[in-house]
Amino acid sequence: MNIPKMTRNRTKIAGLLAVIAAIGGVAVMAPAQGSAVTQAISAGVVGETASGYLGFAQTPSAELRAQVDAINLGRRSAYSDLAQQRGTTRQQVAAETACSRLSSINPGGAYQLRDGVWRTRGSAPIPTPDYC
Amino acid sequence: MKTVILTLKESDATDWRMNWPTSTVLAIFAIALGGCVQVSAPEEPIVIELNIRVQQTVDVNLTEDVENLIENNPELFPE
Repeated sequence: MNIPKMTRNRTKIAGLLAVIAAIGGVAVMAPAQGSAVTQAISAGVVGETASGYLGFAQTPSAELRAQVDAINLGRRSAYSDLAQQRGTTRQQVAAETACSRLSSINPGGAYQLRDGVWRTRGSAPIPTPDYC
Repeated sequence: MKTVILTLKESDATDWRMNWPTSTVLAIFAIALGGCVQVSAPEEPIVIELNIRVQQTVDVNLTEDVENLIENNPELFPE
């Protein structure tokens, strides 16, 4: 009677450990993913665009592109939800967000205005475009 | 506006006895001018003002919502 009970307990413990490991793995992976994009933003590879989405000032690695694409999909969905709540268009929300994001770009960060030109922020703040 | 129209009509009446063609021309001008001023002045400015106010309110609300959206979704807005 004792032996199978112990085996069951071991199985339970092993299962619990697996769950903990999985949660730990996810927790470790999530910030790591974020930091790759964050690093690319600091390096001026990835930057904010006037369309309200992240774009590439320089050619990214396939992995970085996939991560940025995922963020942009999430943004698109969030813009749609807010637009529906406020009775406006997704594009309007996206443009408003883009204007807001311009002030959050750090020196050395890349950004793209409506003219399509990629620029890098210097020490001075980015002048607000007239459509913002 | 009303004062202007009345003055024109009074002068119109005095001209009527003295000079026929002048009074007729004046009357036509008075009616035409009166019509123009009366139609355009009261309606348009009110409509434009309302539109601006509504637009501003929508913009302010949207800006606040967008700030909340960014704050509540840091994973979508890395810095």
